Amino acid sequence: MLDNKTVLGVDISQSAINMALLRGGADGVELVKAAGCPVPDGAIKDGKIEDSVMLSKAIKALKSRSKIRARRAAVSLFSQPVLMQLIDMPKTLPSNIGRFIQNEVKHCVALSGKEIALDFCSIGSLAQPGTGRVFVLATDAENVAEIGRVCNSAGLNVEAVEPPMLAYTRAFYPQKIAGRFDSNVLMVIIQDNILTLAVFRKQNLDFIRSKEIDEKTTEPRELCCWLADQINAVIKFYDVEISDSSSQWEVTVVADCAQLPEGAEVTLKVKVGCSDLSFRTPQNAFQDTFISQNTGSDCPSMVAAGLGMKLLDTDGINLGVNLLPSEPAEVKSFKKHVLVTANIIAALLLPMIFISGALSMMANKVNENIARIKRTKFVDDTRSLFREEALADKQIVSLSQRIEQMNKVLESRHSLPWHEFLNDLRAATPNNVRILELFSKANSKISLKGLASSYEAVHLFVKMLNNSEHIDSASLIETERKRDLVSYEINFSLVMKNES
Amino acid sequence: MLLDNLAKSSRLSRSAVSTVLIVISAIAMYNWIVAPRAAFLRGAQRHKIVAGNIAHKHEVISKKVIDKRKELQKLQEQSTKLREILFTPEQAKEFFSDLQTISEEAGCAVYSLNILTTAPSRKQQQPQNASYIVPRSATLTVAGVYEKIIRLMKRLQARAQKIWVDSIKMEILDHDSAQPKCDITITIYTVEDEEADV
Repeated sequence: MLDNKTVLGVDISQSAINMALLRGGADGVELVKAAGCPVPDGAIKDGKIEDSVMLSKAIKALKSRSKIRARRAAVSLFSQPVLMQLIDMPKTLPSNIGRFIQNEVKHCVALSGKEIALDFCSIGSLAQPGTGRVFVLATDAENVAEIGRVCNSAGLNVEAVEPPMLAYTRAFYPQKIAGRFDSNVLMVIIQDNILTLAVFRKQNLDFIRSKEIDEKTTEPRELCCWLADQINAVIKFYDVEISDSSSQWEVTVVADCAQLPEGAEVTLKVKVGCSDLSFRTPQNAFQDTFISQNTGSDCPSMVAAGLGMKLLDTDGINLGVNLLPSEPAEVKSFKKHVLVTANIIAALLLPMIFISGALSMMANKVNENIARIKRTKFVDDTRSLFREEALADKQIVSLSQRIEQMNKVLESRHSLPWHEFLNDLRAATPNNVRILELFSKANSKISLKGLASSYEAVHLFVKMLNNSEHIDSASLIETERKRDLVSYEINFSLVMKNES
Repeated sequence: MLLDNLAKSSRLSRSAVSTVLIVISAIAMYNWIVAPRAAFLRGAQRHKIVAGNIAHKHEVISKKVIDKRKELQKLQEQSTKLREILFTPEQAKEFFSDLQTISEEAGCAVYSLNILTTAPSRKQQQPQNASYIVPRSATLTVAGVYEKIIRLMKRLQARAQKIWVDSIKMEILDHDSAQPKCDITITIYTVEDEEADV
């Protein structure tokens, strides 16, 4: 549906907006969908866009309501003035044909003082001197730009803008123009108070004239007579002025409005005097095209269909004129470029958002872990533990010092079991030995002095002392006989017990 | 104006502008979207590491504190045990005042009791490294029969607090008497600074 072979023709007239979605293929052109709606009041007035926003919204609404989507679109040029002219090229072709044509168009009163949008195409061979003609299409550039803006804001990618007459011609060409070598074909198109007459001779456009219908000619019968006069004038012109013109005429009148009376076809046939005159209205014009119609689609606007055919580049006549300036193409390219850039940025943004989300999730997970650690491990404040440890250290040091001090004192001191020693001493003292003096020296050293009856008694005493478990190595230091007694001095050490 | 110029510029220029725009956008997006969250995550991870370290330290310190409490308890028990054999200043005072009574109860007559005050005061000695244990000495001169003196010695040394007999000098002054005179130099140790005790 959205391939390049699907195109949209948009026919905007003063009263209605019509769309025709066409699809080109090997079997020809197929009408996929057609839709139409009236132009909102006040959107277009006297061939000018009055409210572009309103018009754009109407187009957009029609498109979305009809579910029409197409990349490429061609739009009819409904605003006035439009200049369609055939210019005979001079025998000596100008070096710059474009400039030449521009100069020719400048003389047109309707376009004077305006920026002109124009396009042209050759009819016949320009190579043969004197035979070349150029079909020129020109209008106010602002009108074309406005149409482009309206359609772009409605979401249409406009590739071509051309007047309805060319669209009609393209649509009718296979049935009405192609292969007509022995007769002249006159296309008469009435749309939006503009009458356009185009003569095709030997398949080529030979004459074209546009005329605004006089506002005074409002009465249908009067309009019918006026139209007949116009047709007759063209035929007469050919009869008189063109020597090799065929006398056979095929006239097709397309009245795209309800101004003509009922039975206008008969009246015209009588007044024009041409038996091969066909009268077409928007309702029955489609029968003259080769477009196959989808069963579900409505009867389309011929202009919309013809516009779509322009983009499909069908085999029929395709006057290569397009009023859409080349600038929009640049703009489109620029827009495309901007779109691609924006897409790349968006594509970059998306993973960054994902990465950011993932990072946030990871951070939340880490925070949860931290909270869990805090809940489970920091029930007691670590700092208080540090303080407790420091206090314990201080207390341990202080206590250790005190214990050390106490131990040092205890180690330095030896306990002497004095009462046991004194008991032993009493037990060890023989009856003939008397102790007169006992004193300790240097703590554990004991010195004994006394009197004994004999030396034997003294020695026995020393021996007895040595037998005591509390006395260590008792030795006799001095003995002296004093009359019948013996004085003695014995030294010994006490066995010490370590306090620790 | 700028957009118009850009629209009319060549494809290469537009591509260059687009590339620059994409790069700037990417950097800006990174700085605005990713970088703050990445920094937050890094911070959270560092916080987690710190919290983990603190938790680990907490565990280690908890164990240490438990060990130290045990050690302290052990030391306290040891200290209590040691202090039982030492005097408090009050006990020392009481002991020295009771010394005459103790001697008389043992059956010895007290000739003299001389409490030595030669030991320097703790504060004077080492103000920085305060001495905890202070020795106190006294010379007791008694007279009594040999058994009574033995009894006195036994009573002195049978006390819960330790009393060291530094020297003893026993002599019979009167050859007819059975009561020797005995000079006993005793030393006790007091535990000072009770209130600072653990």
